Formats: sequence, structure tokens, C-alpha cells
Amino acid sequence: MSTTSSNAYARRAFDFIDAFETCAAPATVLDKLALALKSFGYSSFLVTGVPEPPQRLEPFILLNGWSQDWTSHYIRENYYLDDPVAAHCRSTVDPFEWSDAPIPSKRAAEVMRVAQDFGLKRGFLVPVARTRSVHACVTMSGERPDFEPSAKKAIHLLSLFAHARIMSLLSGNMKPRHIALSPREREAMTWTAAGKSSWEMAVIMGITERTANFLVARAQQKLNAANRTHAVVNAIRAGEIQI
Amino acid sequence: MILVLHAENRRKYADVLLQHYRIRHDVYVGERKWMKLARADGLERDQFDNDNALYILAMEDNKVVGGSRLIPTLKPHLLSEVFPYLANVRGLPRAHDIYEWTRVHVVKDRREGRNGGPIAGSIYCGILEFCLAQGISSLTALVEMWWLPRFHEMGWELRPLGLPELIEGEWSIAVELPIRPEILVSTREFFGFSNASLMPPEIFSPREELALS
Repeated sequence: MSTTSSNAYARRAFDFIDAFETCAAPATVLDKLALALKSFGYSSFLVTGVPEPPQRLEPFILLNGWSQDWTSHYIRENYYLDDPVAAHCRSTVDPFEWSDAPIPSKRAAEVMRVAQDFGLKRGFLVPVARTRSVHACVTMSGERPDFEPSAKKAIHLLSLFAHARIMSLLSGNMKPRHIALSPREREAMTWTAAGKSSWEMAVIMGITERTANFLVARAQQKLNAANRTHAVVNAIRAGEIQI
Repeated sequence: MILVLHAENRRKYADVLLQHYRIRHDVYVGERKWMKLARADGLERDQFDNDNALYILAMEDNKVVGGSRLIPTLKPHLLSEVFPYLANVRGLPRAHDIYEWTRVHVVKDRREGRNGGPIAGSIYCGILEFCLAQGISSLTALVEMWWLPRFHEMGWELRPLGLPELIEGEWSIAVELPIRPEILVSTREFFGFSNASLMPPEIFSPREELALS
């Protein structure tokens, strides 16, 4: 039996949405979102882009509210390749319980089993369909989350607003927004994002490897990035490339 | 360019309005399979397509390539008559300067990319320009949830009126969009526009023309 009316769930969602709007930094959104999800019984969460494998997840993580242990294990084992929840997220715009994601392989089953061992018992995911970058999601887990239909609707709503606030804060930090890569630099970043090496890029673009390196280095400089991965992330956030 | 049809000029543009109804039938019945809207004459019209309706139409060489509809919220409209429960938390805003926005679409062969392309952009910008010119303070709308991130990308500050509900198999929500000059600027930036989308003669200044007051 539900003790919370659907109206109360809605009010709670609206209050958190208002709270996100007052956040001046992504870290504050992280705190507010943690508080919001905790009130629905979730103890950890992740806000991230969901690129197509074999691209890796790490460059696309926006806010990490997982435990350090689980994050390290997930990355070390490269679970993203086979994560059935992430795979299902890339194929739908509707929120779903983790247990509703199809398990297509043994390895996918392993990811879910080990997640349990790390305390991620039950989960819920809200996909975020964007036009300027890869699709994203807010995914969350807890011991006994509130799976009332109205609770899910409230989380659906507040997750989209939390994600929007983070993106707006990040793009604000990127100002001036017109980084303006040249068409060839943009192409080079697109191939970099697709995991191509300078040599592969050179072959594809019909240029020398030296030129490919030069294009990437210049894009990296314009994007104020420390390395290629960082440059890809900034290029996506700035809307310079789409994947 | 965007042409606005209203009670005073709709007879002059009767053929344009017919094109618009035919396109809506192609899009909503033909493509999206909203079979409740199917009509034998191939023109999609409902009870809200009356003299109160305003049509924001994207025109190319006298051909309609997309459009949308605005209904004054003091008159019967979709959220007031069909889906009032979607606004049951904050209540449905109704005022002389609040309009309901419905039926935004672009003909199939003019949709481009993930942001909808320039025709879609001209419709969004045209609506915002029209609202700013006419003193319309906000729009209400029933939108699919997966559209929210796109509106957020355009810099729109949406106010949910209730929780999302499943409508025709899609999670949908009633929202209010306060109209401010800043969102026209950010929407133009999003689509890379530097000029107005509205046809100049349609930016008529006398508010009486629409009986807004």
C-alpha cells in the first residue's frame, strides 16, 4: 500500500527541480540529486553519456555517485561493453527497472550478478535523448527503492531536469562557446571519438599521419584539453562533434 | 518563412489552410498512426480548429512544409477539455495572454538531423517571435517526455504542471513555457539562425487584431 499520494510525489519532484535551478556548480547538483534520489530509497547513482561500444564509458561520465569500489571494478573489468542496462538504455527513451533489461549473454548476466555483490541490488534508469551529443542517462540503485508508479514518474521528471542543469552548467563553464574547430579538425575529432588512431585517421582522411597528429593537437589546444580523451569530451559538450 | 493565419486572414489563405490540414493527416494519421484523428476527406481537423485557432505555418514557394497551432487558453483547448488531469498538481494556467501550443510538425522530406532541421527551427523561432510581438506571456503544451532534453538544449525553461502519464503509449507531460526574449536568442543560436523567421507583415502590432485584451 502506498502511503504517499501521487500529488505529494509530484510536489517533491517540483521542489527538487527548483533546487537544481539554484545550483551554481555541477558538484552542487550532485549533492541535490543524491538527496532527491535518497528520498526515493536510492543510495547511489550515475549521470553519464552512453556511447556505443567499443567506445569506453569513462569520458562520458558527468556525475559519479557510485561507490569508488564499484566504479574501479566496473572500469577495470570493462563491464560497459556487456552491461545489459546500458545496452537497453541505448535502445529506448522510456525509463525502466534494471531487472527489465534483457540479458543477452553470460557476460551480461555476470555484470548484473557482480553489481549485486557490490550492493547494487535493484535499480532504475531514466534515458536522456539529446540532439547534440550521445544519448545520456541517469541511472540509480538502492536496497529497497520505492517502485510506486508515481515515484517512478517523479524520478523520470526530476532526472531530466537534473541532467539539463548539469549540461547547462558545463556548457557555461566552456564559454566562450564558439570554440569553432575547422572542418578538418572537427573531422579529426570525430574519428578520434570513434577510437581511430592517427594512422587510421590518416588513411581514412587521405592525409599523412603527421598532419593527422597536427589536426588533433590543434583541436586539443582549442578545446583546452589535456589529452585526446579530454578533447573528445569537451568537443561533444561544446556541440562541435556529434556521435 | 513563417506565415501566421488567424480569424481575419484565414479566408484569404483558404488553400494554404487546406494544405495544412492535409499535411497533418499525413503526419498524425499516416505516419504516427493516431487513428482517432483519421478522416475520410484526408484532412485532419478536430474540435479546436475553429475561428479561435492560430496557425503558425512554415512556407516555401507557396507550399506548406510544416506548422503548428495555438489556441487561446480562455477558450476550450486540448488540456482543458481532454487532459485536464495532466495539470492536476499546479493547475492549468488560463489567461488572455496564455495560449496552448499543439500539433508541431514538419513534412517528412524536410526533417533533417537530430535537432529536426531548419524548418523545425523556423517554426519554433516563429512561434517565439509571434508570442513576443503579441505580448503572449506563456504557452502551455502537452509534450512527450523524450522531447524535454531537446527543449532544454534550446534553453527553454519549462514548468511541469503535473506528473508524466502514458498517452497513446508515450510518456507525456503538461508544461508551461514562459516566453522571454532570452529563449528566442538561445533557440536561434541552437539552430544557427541570425534572422527573424516570421514574415514581416505578420508582426502586426495592434493587439486588438487578435482580441488579446
